[in-house]
Amino acid sequence: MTEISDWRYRIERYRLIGVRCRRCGSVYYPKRSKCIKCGSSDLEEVELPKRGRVVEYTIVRLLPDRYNRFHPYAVALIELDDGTRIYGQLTDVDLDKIHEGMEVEATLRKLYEYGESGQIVYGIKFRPVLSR
Amino acid sequence: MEVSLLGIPVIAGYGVIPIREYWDKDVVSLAINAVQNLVKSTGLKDFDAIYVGNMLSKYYEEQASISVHLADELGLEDVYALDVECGDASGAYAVLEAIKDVLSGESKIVLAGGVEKSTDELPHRLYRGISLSEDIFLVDYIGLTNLVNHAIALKMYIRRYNVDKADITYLSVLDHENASKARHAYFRFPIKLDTALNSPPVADPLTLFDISPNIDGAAFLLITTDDIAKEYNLNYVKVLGYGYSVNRTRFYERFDPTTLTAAKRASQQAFKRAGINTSELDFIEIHDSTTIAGVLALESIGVHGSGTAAKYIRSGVHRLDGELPINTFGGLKARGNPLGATGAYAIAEGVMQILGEAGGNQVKDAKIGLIHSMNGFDLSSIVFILGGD
Repeated sequence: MTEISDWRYRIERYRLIGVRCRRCGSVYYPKRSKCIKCGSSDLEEVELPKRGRVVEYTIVRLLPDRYNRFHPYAVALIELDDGTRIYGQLTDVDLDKIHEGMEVEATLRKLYEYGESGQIVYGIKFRPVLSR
Repeated sequence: MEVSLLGIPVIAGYGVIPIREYWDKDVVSLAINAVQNLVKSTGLKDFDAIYVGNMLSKYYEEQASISVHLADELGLEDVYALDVECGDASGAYAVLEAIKDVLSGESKIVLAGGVEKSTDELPHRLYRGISLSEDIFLVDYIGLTNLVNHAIALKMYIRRYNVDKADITYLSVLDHENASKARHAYFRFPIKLDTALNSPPVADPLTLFDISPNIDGAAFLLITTDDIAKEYNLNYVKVLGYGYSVNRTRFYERFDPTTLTAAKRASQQAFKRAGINTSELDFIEIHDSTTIAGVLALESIGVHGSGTAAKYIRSGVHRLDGELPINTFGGLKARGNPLGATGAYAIAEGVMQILGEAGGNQVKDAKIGLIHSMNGFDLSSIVFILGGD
């Protein structure tokens, strides 16, 4: 990524904005231009639910430089409350306590910063839901 | 079998270098060394076209157009030179380009293979590099790496089919056993299952011995037709069939996450072209960039039913002296995974087996072999079926 592409992706990075197929109802995040279930190109932007549960997860231990400060971190396959499945990085969580079925919610967090330009890039991560 | 008026496409020579850490060589030098070995064994040094598979030199060494630099170093003029990039399947895709070139009649004698200089970068940059085929949004904003899909698929597979992880990791034991006799392999020693299971985690539940090492290597093949090979008195292996396909790039949008759909489609095409089925195979080279990828590949190409491959691997049927040997020189785990060159090594190994030049790794009566190579976790897959004359 460059500073330019970080700017281009800002909306999808700050908010869970995906697309829903107007024909069959399938939802995708991030956006795509065609529905892979029914083939329709008639898709509308939609904001996805911020809550969901962990279906599976892994702990990433070999990672690129820019994520060093978070080493090691967990990436989870998350099923949102509307049934949409996405990948999300987990935050504010004890890695030993992550479990399948754990309820999580989207939150805005720092992803990385650029050394020279000093630009800080924020994005969505998921944290455990403490109370409901 | 693919037959055109021009004849049958064949592989009539190979040149590989041992997979090592070559601190004193750059990417083009590695390619030259492999080609020199090919020239030495075939006596041919003039080619109509060159296809070079490579994944990361643009990113690491900031060197593009390797095929052109290779042509220049080899003193070739009026040659068609093209770089081929398809992640860690680049080398195999380069060979398919050569086969199609020969089938079209445009070129008669073609050089194709792959080269990778993985050790030119520090580990943290390597981890970004080997994830380059993945969706940039997922890698940079969610933290996906090349291993995440493998790890999640492993957990889904274990849960779905109630498989013991040790049976999956056992593939690395088999790989090391085969590599221990192979001169060009990187890890030339056997390991114990306990060592593999207790190695450090890399992307839980994957441990270090579940993943393949990204090292330096170069492997090239000579592709031509049977008639021309005979004319030059070259031993050759026929390309009986090939196939290729792609899968959904976002793992979580795949309809069946524990099937490598691209590998499945690619193998079906290859079997159809060759007019054979799995029972006629004498050996298989699968793309086990991780142990779970290897297990799923064996199932997806139709050798075993879903959820059963690990059990068969553990039982010994796929050892070098078993019923259907796999990864006869150690696969990606132990022969090594020089990314853009990996597929070309697998093809060269298939050729060695069929020509009876596999030395201590020789599979008895190896006549027909299947080679599978893939980009990432089945982003795309390519399959060849090779056969003896």
